[in-house]
Amino acid sequence: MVSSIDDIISYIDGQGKIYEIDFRVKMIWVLLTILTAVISLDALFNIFLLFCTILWVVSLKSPIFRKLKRNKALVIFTFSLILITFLFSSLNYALIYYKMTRELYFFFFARSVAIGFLTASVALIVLSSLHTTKTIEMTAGRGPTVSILTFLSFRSVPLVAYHLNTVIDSQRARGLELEKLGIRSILRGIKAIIIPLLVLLTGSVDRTSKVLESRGINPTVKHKSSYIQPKLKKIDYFLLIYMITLLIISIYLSIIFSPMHATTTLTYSVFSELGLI
Amino acid sequence: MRKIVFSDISVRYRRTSEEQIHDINLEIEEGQLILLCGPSGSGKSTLTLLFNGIIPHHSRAIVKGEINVFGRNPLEEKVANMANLVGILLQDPESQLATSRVKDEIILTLEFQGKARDEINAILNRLLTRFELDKLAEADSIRLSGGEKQLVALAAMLSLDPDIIILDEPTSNLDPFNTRKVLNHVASFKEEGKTIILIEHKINEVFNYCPPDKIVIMDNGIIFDQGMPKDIVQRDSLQKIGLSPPKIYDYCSRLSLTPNQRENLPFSLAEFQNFVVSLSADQKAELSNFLILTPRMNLKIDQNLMEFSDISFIYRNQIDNALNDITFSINKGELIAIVGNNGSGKSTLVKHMIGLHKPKAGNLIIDGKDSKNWTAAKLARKVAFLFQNPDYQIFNSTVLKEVSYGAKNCGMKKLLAIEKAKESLNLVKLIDFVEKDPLKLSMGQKQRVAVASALTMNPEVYVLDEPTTGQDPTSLKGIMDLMLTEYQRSSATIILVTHDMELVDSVANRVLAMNDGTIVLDDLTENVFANPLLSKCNLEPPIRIKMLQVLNQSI
Repeated sequence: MVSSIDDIISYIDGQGKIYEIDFRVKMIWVLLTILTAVISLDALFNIFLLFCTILWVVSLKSPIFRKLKRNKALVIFTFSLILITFLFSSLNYALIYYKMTRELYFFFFARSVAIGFLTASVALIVLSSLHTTKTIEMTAGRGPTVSILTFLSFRSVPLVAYHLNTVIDSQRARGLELEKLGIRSILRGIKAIIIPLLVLLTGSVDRTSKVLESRGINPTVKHKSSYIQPKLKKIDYFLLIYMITLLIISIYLSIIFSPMHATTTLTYSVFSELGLI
Repeated sequence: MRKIVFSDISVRYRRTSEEQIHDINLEIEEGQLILLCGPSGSGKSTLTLLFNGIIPHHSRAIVKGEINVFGRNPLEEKVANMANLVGILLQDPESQLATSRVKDEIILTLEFQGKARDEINAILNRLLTRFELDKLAEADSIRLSGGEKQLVALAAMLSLDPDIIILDEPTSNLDPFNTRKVLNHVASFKEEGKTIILIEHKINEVFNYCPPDKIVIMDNGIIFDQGMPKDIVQRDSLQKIGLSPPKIYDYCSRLSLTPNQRENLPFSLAEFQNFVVSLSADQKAELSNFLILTPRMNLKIDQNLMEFSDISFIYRNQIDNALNDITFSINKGELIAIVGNNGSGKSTLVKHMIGLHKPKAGNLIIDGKDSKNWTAAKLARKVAFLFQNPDYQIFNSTVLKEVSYGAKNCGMKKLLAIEKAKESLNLVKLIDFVEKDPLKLSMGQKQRVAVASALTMNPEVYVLDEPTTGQDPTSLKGIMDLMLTEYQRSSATIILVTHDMELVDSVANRVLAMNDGTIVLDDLTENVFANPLLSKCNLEPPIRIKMLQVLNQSI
């Protein structure tokens, strides 16, 4: 149904409300979505989640919904499918539709995760991790050693990749063929790449630490103020309440409709007696 | 007026027996712009790292003597405490950014200083506007160009509004467009009364965009000379350590001048415009002769070597082509320069020449064979590629092994490779270093090891990638002299990839100017310099041509 993650985010409007949501909330949202999905193993809960997700999509005026609205046949088909599935799965007998519902749900589940992470850049994800770590460190009354190291580690990834590519190019231009060599030669080839890479990275690390220290950034120095606004916006609170409610309902439903629960057992017995299953 | 005073300063790094700099006596007045120059390894960077105490607190070293920086002693104070007084910018923008987002780079510094949110906001907006980074505030700093990264690093450094700004080769990795931008900012810092210590090899650009108040020349760890630019140049101090005076001064000083004219020799183009007015018709004719005559290498053009036909190339996950319909050919024996700003497609083009890239569209014929039939390893026997930084290739335990490595990879017998390596080391004057560890050599010596390595492979073509980047004029001259000697000796072809128009002017016979992945100009050097399309590539002609233009206007 969803061929790639790019398909999912291609529907997201560049100026959509989704971009206004605080990234901390987005992370919680993704975590809660995953948790809710794990709890909701039954078709009924999937249907429930599906409706919740649709509700959410509508509430954010997502372009994908507008796209669906334009295609009436698709809308009718989708809602008919949902209705039929809901009717059957509510009685716990719609096994044939179960897979379809799950696929549909997967579409929205995957979309939720994708929206959560992909509308935030890698930089924002790193930033969010850093600020979380930083807050913990500050609360503990320590210098932001771990957060600064985390920051530098993420930041150095493209630098390492650039140096690595250039070193490989440089050695290939000197006739190194890693593809056609024996084990001994491969080890020598790796040495030809690793040593220059280490030399370059040592130099980079030294320069970075000098520059940061000269700007007064030192992990051992206590962080004195924070630019990040701790206050969340209305939309953030709305999303948090929505997701927490969803999680609570999922937990509640998963207990009510558990095979071990009296209601389920009773329903099963009645239908069994009637010879329907 | 506040001062920076260094008295009898000597520095020796831990674990080394020799002093890096010694007997340094220096006095800098508040608001001065100091140009600190000297060859690589002369101690310039060591000196500047003393200003805020990076040495001895961060880079452990034993420092003798006394330092007074506007009444404070960096040898005793913490580096973090000096951050409000001294800001440092290094040459490599990549290593100076710690965060992933442009505005976070500025914010992080301010947070560590305990600034309130509103104050951070005000400083952030002011700096983003000043450095024209408004639109990039939320951008991923990894994806910025080299020039943009350097501006971000500059903005982050300035966020604390330091009174003293140290710039260690800030334009080394930048193209002419961004060099001009950064140096114009330096000029504006001076106008604001900042004290600036600028280490820079691009002396012509410095005099044109931010003329210094004083020059300090370092050599072998000592201050070789210091004084007003005029006095330094008149004493030939720059030439004595292998550096060149500003070209404008150099050309004008060769004229038959009156004592008054000699007193007022120009250093920058602006000064030259006034100077030309004072010249007689004969003097103008004499100057014109100097400027027109440029000795170039004699060409030994032979048959066709490489033929590019409608070549296009696109990198994975990119939308725009890195190369668009490239069509040109290179003949054996040519000395050709490929010029263009960063991101113009120069490096992508030469990577096709050495087999690291294959064209996505079009045909590339190298020595009569389609490039698809050439692997990088096979092409290495024919085309040697000299990377701008020798650290990208050096890994062997001895200089001899390092120099013979490429030749052995290309199938040369071990004994023959060693013999050839020794010959090459003799040519680059490193024959006494055969058993030395190449990683412990100076940068200039490493460059010569890389050249020797290329010479040993006995290729037909040498591709030199940005040879001016990070090189002091002495090292650059050493490499170019070696290459030109080889060019004269053999029938080799030299392809020079650069954005340094002065270098192009001094050696190249033919120039290919690139912009946005296309070839905008392909002509003889003089014709390219005279072509107004050059500005379309964000390039400017060399000083010689600019002087000629001013001179012709005055006649």
